[in-house]
Amino acid sequence: MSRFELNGKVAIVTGGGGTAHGIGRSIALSVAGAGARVVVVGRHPDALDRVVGQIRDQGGDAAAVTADVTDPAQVERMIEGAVDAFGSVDILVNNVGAISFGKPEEISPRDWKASIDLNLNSTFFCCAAAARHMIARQGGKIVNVASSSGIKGEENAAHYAAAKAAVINLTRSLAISWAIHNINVNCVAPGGVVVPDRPVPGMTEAEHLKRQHLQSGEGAPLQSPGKPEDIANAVIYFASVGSDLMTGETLVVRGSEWASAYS
Amino acid sequence: MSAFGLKDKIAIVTGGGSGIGEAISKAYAEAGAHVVVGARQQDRLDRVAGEIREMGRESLAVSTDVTVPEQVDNLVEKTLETFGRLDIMVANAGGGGFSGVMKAKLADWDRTIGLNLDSAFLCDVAAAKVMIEQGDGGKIINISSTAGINLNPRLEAYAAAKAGMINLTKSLALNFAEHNINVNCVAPGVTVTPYMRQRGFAPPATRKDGTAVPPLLLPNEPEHVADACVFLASDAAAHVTGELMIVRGMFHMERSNDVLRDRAGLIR
Repeated sequence: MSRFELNGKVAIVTGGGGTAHGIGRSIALSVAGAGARVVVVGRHPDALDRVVGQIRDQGGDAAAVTADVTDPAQVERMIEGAVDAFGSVDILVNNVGAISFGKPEEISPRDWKASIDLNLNSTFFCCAAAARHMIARQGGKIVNVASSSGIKGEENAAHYAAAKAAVINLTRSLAISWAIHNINVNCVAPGGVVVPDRPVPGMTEAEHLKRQHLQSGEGAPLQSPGKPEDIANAVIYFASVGSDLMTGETLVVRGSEWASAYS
Repeated sequence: MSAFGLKDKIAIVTGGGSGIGEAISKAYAEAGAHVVVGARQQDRLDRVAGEIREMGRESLAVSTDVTVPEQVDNLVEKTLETFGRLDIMVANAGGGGFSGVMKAKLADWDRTIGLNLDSAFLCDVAAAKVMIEQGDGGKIINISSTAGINLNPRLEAYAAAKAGMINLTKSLALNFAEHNINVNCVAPGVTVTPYMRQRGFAPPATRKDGTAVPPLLLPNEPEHVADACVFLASDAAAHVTGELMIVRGMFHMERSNDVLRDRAGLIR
């Protein structure tokens, strides 16, 4: 029997509506495909319902919970909603997050805080709330989705890169703290992923065109941007028993794009 | 077919006759691959190859000293003669004991670097030549060790070699990306092999007070390392290259394991 199945498990996927890159939607569908019942979480009920419908169409089981995970009270209700729907939480995938752009010297304090809230604070709130549930059950798997920006830095997205770097370090601290409760905490850091036809929210048209140009090359797959499924498969690995003795680690999924000074 | 499967892939695992290499070989067979095991001791290889055939997969045992270029070439040639292609190379052979930096001779240093680092270079490049020729990519996995990351005053040559493997992995990943060959590295922490278990280094699963040691505070079993190697060899890791996967729990936090912690150099 495969060591990478999630049969009988209940998984929360935040940002599972996949309104931006589609990574969250791919994770939700893939985790369901691996056998888990999935609680799809996000701010937009329509997007959540679409993903839940797709999971049911492929023979899986899913429920939608509308929540803004930057709000601790809503995060608590998210956990309650998951337990109400499926009885427990075995796996938490913290996929919520979004890049925004701006010259560092022009990032307003408000934009800085918004990026830290969305990319870092949401992750911490969800980890802590899930862990309180998992500690009682003495086990669980938490997978944070960071970004290669959190390792190499990012031109004109310093707030995003700093928040993602913090997620990578938070992963280690939580792993150390919760090992005695048999909770694995790991991180997947995607590099460039194939961009959608339109700019993601906050991305300028010029930035979008630049990224489209970057992925239009004729290189080998390993020299090209990844697919959302590449990220989803890494998440499944960290959610499965196949990674039972890995914790605190970050797996970067970025082909060979890491050829920079700070990789 | 799951993205994590290896159905009908052809894999070479060096050091496949025992310990972590044996576990990787069997996990690959379990995932559907046919496995060529290479190591110096033919009797061990024959046993593992026999067990793989009993699992319904094909296997070939090729006696190999992975520090000798001609023998590495022979390992690859025998694989091609039997299976016609090569999809996965796991450079797992290695080993080394404590030496002591003030007593070690250059010959000791050379032997340990040769066994752990030269061998990975030879196996990786020999495999890549075949994979480039085949033209449809491939997977190369180097088995390093947390000794290549940790501070460890008693394992200098071994630690240096294992650190070298981690960086070699990155260089080769960049070199071979255009051929869609993934090159990755797995660094196991303390892993209780059957050999270590026989010598009394298996940690107690329960403490003196009768409580169970939490699973994440135990050292690895070889199968845990093998799981990471299955993932990296599969389509699920298609976009992962040049990366290091450290396989270890928080074993160093568990105080009831002092014998093993001492052996691993975690107590000074």
